Amino acid sequence: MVMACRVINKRRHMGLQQLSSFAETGRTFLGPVKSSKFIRDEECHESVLISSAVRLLENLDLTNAVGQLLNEAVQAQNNTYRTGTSTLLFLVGAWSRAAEECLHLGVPISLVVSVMSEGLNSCIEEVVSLHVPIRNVFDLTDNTKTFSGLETSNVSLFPFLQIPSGTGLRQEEHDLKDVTSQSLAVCSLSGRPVKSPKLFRPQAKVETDKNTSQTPQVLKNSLLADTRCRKSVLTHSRHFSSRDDNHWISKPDGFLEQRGAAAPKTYRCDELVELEVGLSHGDHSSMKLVDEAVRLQCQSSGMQHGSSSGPFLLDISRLFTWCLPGLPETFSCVCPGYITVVSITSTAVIKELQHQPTRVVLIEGDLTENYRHLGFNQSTNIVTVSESTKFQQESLEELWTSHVLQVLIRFNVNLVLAQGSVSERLIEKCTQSKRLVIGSVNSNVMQAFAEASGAVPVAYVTQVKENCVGSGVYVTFWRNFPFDAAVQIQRIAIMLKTEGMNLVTVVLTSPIPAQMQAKEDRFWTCAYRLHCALKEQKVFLGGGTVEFLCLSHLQILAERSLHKGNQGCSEWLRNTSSWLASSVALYRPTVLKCLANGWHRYLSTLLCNTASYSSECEASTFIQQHLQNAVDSGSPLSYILNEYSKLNSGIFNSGISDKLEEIPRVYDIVTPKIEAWRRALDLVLLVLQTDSEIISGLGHTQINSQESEGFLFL
Amino acid sequence: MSRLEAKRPSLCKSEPLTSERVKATLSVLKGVVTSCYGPAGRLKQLHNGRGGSVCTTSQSAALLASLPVTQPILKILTTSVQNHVSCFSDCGLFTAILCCNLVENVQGVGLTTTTAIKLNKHLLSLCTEYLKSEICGCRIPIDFGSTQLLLCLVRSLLTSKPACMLNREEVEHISTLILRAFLLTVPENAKDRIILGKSIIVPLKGTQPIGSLNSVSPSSYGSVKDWCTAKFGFKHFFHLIPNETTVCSLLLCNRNDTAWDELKLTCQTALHALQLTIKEPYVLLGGGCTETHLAAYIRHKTRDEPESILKGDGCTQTELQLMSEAFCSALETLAGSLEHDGGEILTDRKYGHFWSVQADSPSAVNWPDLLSRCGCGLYSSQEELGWCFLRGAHHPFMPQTCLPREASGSANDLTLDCFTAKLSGLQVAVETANLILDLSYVIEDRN
Repeated sequence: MVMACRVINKRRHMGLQQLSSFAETGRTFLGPVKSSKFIRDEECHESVLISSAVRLLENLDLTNAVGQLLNEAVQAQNNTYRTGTSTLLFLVGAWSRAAEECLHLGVPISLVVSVMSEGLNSCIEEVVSLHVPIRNVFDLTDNTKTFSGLETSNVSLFPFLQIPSGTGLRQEEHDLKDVTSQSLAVCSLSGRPVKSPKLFRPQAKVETDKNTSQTPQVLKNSLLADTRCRKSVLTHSRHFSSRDDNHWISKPDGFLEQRGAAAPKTYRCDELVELEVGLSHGDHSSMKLVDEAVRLQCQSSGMQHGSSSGPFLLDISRLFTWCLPGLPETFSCVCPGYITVVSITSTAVIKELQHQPTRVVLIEGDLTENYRHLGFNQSTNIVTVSESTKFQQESLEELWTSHVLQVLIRFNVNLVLAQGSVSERLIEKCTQSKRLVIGSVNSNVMQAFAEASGAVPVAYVTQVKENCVGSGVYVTFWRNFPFDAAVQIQRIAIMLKTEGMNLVTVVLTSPIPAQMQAKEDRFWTCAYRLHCALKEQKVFLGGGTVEFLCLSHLQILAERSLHKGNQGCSEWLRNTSSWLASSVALYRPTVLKCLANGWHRYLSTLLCNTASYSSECEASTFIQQHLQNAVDSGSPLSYILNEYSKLNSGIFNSGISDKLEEIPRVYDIVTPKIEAWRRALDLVLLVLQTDSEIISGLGHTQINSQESEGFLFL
Repeated sequence: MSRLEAKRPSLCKSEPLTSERVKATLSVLKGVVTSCYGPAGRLKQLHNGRGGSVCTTSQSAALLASLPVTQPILKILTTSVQNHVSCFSDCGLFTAILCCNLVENVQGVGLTTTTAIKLNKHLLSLCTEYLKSEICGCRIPIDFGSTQLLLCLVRSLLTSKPACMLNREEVEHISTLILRAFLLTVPENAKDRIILGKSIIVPLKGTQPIGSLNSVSPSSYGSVKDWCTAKFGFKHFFHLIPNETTVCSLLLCNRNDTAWDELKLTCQTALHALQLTIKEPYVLLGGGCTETHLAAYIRHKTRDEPESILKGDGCTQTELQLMSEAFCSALETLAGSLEHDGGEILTDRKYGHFWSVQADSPSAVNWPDLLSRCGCGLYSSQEELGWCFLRGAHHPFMPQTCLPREASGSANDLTLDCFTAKLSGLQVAVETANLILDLSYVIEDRN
């Protein structure tokens, strides 16, 4: 074995360059409008259609070390949260470029590391003020207001990005009263025009200056000083306040409150539909299914416990997706219970079992003769020798099958669910004796049946005892999709249900099989977003506001440290006694600016991807304009909040019907977003600090002569 | 059909250290370990180039484990260091760098190997005697009545492993956790011989390992007090609660696998360092201060009382001076390896501590304006300490010995090293360097 060691950080940082070029491939996935990509395998001419960062990296050939670390980071984010991966991927690229910029400007690596982590941490503390509490969204859930009613408002995907491309920055003189003429009008189902809310309207500049002069000093102070762990409730009057008395005051507990003409109202999200629309980020078809699923779960839990204590949560482990490629989208639906397909030969059995409670057994592994549980060690020194092995094998299976059948008959079991595969012979035999065996059952589904039917999952059929058998499972045909489709695949769909089981099956259909995977991914993303929002009881004001606050916050930090030469924050440096500690002040503005540039790139790409702007340059100018306003105002937070309240009051004043006052806000979930940022920066800093690559097990011959430059052998 | 093949003769190389190829590989290895050293150390990506898992690390244990070397001389070095690490967990890089520095410096001196080895041994015993003596100025006794110094020790260990990707708050949090886990393993009613409990791996006390489940005798059963299931984050755990209170579990999380592996290893090292500290209740000043202080002490001693060191074993005083210079500069270069961002190192002529300063600072500058604290954090630059460049030629001076008790009590953010591990590392480094210098032939069996 030979060790090759390559110094990868001589003049230019190869690792950072690799990161940013990998990240570049996922640029178009940022934001709600995602353009799909085809990945083609040149060797076997297969291609995949992908539309998310996870699937992109999964299908790329990332054999080098940096690519692998990137893939691991994205997969880890996806496995935990199912969302935030495009953000993660993009920020990895943006911040690798930022780190490289710092290196070009001669900032020592250790300082880039400490100031960047300090900067991001400061951002994370700052954005706490954009939390919107979620309170009892299920209390107000009524059936009159359903998700589909709000479906048409999808123009307000990103309030930040609402300036239609036709509206130039020149229209600053326009008054808010002209909002009707400027807004992008879209037709709702009822045919009435819907206003597109514009958060960052061009005329904002004039207004802000006026408003900030009225902002009490105490607020500014509290905003700048108290950034530790402020849990704020944003309050503002959505309906009655006019622009002139937008006074943001700081309550003694640090909560933000806006005092208008009327009594202060809490700025919160208390309607499920509003929350769902806000979290859908434009994917209404998926969120609609999530909405139905959560309502079904809510209903069944309500039936079980009467009035439930504590907030209701969407139970992800009781959701099951079932994909049916080839059918039109309209066949997608949500049903209580477990839906699966069985062979058409089982039709008779199901007819027999219908309308009566069935006894069930749950098998954890495969249901085959030669299956052994995990950790079982076959004795290696015993070899079975026989004249006709084939005959013996067959008789062994025959013996086992009849034994299994005996057990099922003894305990009067008519339904067997196995997590693994099931022997074909056994299925055949069971069908003959009017018993149904279903294999490849998802573990969450098994768990749901175990809880609801009282069955105890076992590893082998021989372990079945009376107390392992569950009861009360109902089997029926499920005929919600056209029968000819069923005949084609020679299978029939059935539904299994038990009293008190809150398992919900989401049937996903897509006319284009290549899009099936993406559709399933998108459904889970929406489901996890809602789950997370309900669990955390808070969301962020979305649509780019969080990132914009970070950008302007870093800008202010950089400017402030440039003027003051702030000495206080060297505590982020690992080695505080080093000379670096005293040079932090010198480099901090540079590093913070570079980090802020990452946010800037993020926002411009977002604007560009949503087609609000034709070029990134144009988008960048737009962001720069607002950044300047926010920084000039002294408090970016008040700037953003003022823009928000103006948006609402503006809509109200323009006298459009009540229905339109429910301009759906866009929300982001809190922890997954922040974790994506942290993971992105962690990865960049990890690669930044890496100076060589050590490859074990390589011979001299295995490295191409052109590549071998820079390799050293030990 | 079988045929007999003649055995190929062994390959014999004399004076292996003089070969250019050996020198080159030794300097590559030195570069790898030196660049990893300390809190600002650079990380290495270890992988097999065929899509295997990637490990990002700067720890000797992980680094040497996946660094297969072919050169016999390098093998001697890495094996000694791995041996040291398996016994003491900490100070692996220290050992490796010091050994490389010594081999390089001694070769440059041009003395005969026998003399060099003899003198190296004298200098080593001078070091160990001083470090073990009561007058040692770079050693702090541990008072178990307070957790302050122990916490500093753990914190220093964590901050010296940048691949754990911990920020300041997380370091504080995990340091406290590690110390708490360690203290839980110390039995309440300790007798003369303390048997420490364990953390991380939970053994079921009192059980006997059995061969198979066929014949289980009642004596082989142990018992646990209770058990429960627990959910941390997204994972479910089975929690066994033992009867003894000296068993605890430490749960570690991190954002990515490679940082998590590094953190696991670091925590094991920290727990081990604490265990070693309970046996020998001292800590050494970290951040390069022990090395520079020790170098100043040795330099002064060999100049001041060479006879007592030589003990009439045939070496001349000139030879001792030459070797002492090589030895001390190996220690100082080691301390200087802590700097990775182009700064320069100063030492003070009062305590002989380590001070870092920005490169290209004018030498006539008022040093206290540029300096803040010494490497270990014990002294601040407020005092006039007479700074000079570490690498510059300067007269030997006697660093202040006998660390005053109040000095260690006042500072609460000291960088500290494990006493036992560092002492052993020093011995292993010198002895391995002697072994490598002593090699006159490498005989390779090519069959």
